Amino acid sequence: MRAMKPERTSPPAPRIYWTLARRRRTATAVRVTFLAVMALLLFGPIVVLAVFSFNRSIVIGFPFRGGTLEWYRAALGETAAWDSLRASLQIALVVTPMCLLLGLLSAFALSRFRFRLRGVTGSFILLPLVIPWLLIGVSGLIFFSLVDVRLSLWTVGVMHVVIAFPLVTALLSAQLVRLDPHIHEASLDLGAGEIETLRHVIIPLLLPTIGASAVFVFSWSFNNFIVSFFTAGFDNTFPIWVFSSLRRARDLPVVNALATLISFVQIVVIVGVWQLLKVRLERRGQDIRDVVAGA
Amino acid sequence: MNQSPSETTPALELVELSKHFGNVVAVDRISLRVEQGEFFSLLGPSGCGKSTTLRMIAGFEEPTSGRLLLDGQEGSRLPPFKRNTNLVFQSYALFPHMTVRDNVAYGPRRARLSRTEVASRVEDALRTVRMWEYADRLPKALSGGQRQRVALARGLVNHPAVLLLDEPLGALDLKLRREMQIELKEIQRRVGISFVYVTHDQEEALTLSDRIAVMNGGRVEQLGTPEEIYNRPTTRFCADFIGEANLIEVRVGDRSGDGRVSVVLPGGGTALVGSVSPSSADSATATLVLRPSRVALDDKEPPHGAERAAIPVEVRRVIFQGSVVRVDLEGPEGVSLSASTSEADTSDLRVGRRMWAHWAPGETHLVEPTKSGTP
Ligand SMILES: Nc1ncnc2c1ncn2[C@@H]1O[C@H](COP(=O)(O)OP(=O)(O)OP(=O)(O)O)[C@@H](O)[C@H]1O
Ligand SMILES: [Mg+2]
Repeated sequence: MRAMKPERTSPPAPRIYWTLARRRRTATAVRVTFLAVMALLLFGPIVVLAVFSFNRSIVIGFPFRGGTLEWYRAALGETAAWDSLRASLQIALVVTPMCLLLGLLSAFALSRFRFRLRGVTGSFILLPLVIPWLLIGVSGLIFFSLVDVRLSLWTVGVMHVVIAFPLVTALLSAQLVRLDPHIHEASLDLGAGEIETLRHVIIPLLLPTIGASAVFVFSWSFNNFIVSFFTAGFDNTFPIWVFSSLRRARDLPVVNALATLISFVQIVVIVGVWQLLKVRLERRGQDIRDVVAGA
Repeated sequence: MNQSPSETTPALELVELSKHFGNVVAVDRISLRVEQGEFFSLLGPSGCGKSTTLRMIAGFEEPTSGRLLLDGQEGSRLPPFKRNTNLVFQSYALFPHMTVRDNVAYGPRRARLSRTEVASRVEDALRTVRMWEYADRLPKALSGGQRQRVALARGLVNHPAVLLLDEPLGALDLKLRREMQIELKEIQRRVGISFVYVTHDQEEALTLSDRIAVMNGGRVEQLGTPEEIYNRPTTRFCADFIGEANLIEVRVGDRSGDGRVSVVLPGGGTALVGSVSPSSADSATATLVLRPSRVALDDKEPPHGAERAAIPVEVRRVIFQGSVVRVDLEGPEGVSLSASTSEADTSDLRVGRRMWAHWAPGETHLVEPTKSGTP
């Protein structure tokens, strides 16, 4: 081989390094772009609506005619809206504990016991998570009219339990499977029966996941439109009220103002609960992302 | 103390205890007694049924057959929470959401002891394992060795009839393990509780135990004190598993006279042996067990006879192992054996050098030949 020029004698390592660095920059750019597009699609419309809820014009669109709280004042006077809101809250408050109980029981059954048809039972319980809600709503409607049950907020509640408790089952059984079985055995070994073990060891260890499940179930129930729509009869939940008001154009800014308000409250509540869980978990040396995202 | 009845009944007795998983025989009719205050080890290779035995004693597996007596009472049908035993798990299985104090207090609280009794027992137990300063920490914030101590305290605090330990030091590094071994033995002696200790580390078992049961394939191969097991192995498996051993296939010669047996070594020499295990009692061939540390090397042929046995060898390899040097040798008929020496100067031990390996016949044992019926 020929002798190289002095400036080429340095090893090629820096070039490789440079390539890697460039690749890493490209990867970062792709990632940031992706997240930005996602955020825009997800939150863009909500932000736009929120902004227009302060617009003096009755038309939701440009031009912006100056700020006003007029629509919010009108919203306060919409008694039908507030009634539907109260109904939605009541349903969610009943549905959430029901779902937690059913979810806990089914998660235990599926992950702790070996019984015949366990696989079939598991798939059956989790089925509502993959069946379209439209179908569930329509079949609920048909079922209730077949058995001659009058549609009301009660039927809505029942349907919400059906669609939401499998979510709790999924979250909790994933967490139960991850739990070291020796921890359960250690409790028995130290003199605790099964019930005491549940109370002092298993439930406390599941508490973060139970909390996260509660948040999900509550917001699923509170925000659900399609299933409620088919099974509410003459009663209104808040999403149903919103939908029916959309047909009257002059109400649009009022609906918009109310929706903005409700969204804001929900975001505050969920972020609040999240932070609460996070602080409690950190005191126990756990990371909330493991508990929820790991499930 | 004169509580004579409880001091004569063993803390634990297994009678022909078996466990089958489908058609896998995990534990095969083992019988043993663990005396009050004894440090008893189950030693054996992976998969030999040690954990299964321990889990039957703790109540997590139901025996397929056999009896299990705890403090003289039949115990094999009791659920784990009604047994006077505690298990220290290899993974420690500390409750992650409880402080060290609450972990240790868990047992006494389930036993409905008074608040002051719980507090004083917990303090006692944590001081015993030198973890009292860490009482308010969560398990997350402890090192492996510290978690190990807490797991130990969580068992000791209940004053069980037997404390069961499943490879409790398995997750620790060598240095820490050595330290914990000494401490564990010390603690056991102080609290006087019987320990049943599972390990696959023969050195650990020899260091800690009052008695050892060597297990293989679900069965107990040999049961005895560390000295008995090391010095008088009764089976080929035990000789091989415990300590280093040269296993030399020999023909059994003269069995007559004063009960001493002589064997024909490879190359035709004869030698007396120290002891004969029942497993080789009647066979024509047998395995001679010779510890490398007992083998000496010499250039000249030593005088054979009752005091010395010898075979000619050639040096194959010299391996420096720190405190000792291991010399691999090849004898007549291709037999290989090794000698270990702590002599400082081994520079003259060159590969290919012809020497004599010799030993005192009293330090050898005869066990069954390679293909005997033992699985
Ligand atoms: N629940 C089970 N189902 C089926 N087979 C099992 C079960 N538990 C253990 N076994 C089998 O029983 C045998 C003994 O297992 P065991 O766990 O007692 O071994 P061990 O001596 O503790 O081994 P190690 O040192 O690896 O822990 C093994 O062959 C194992 O595969
Ligand atoms: Mg094991």
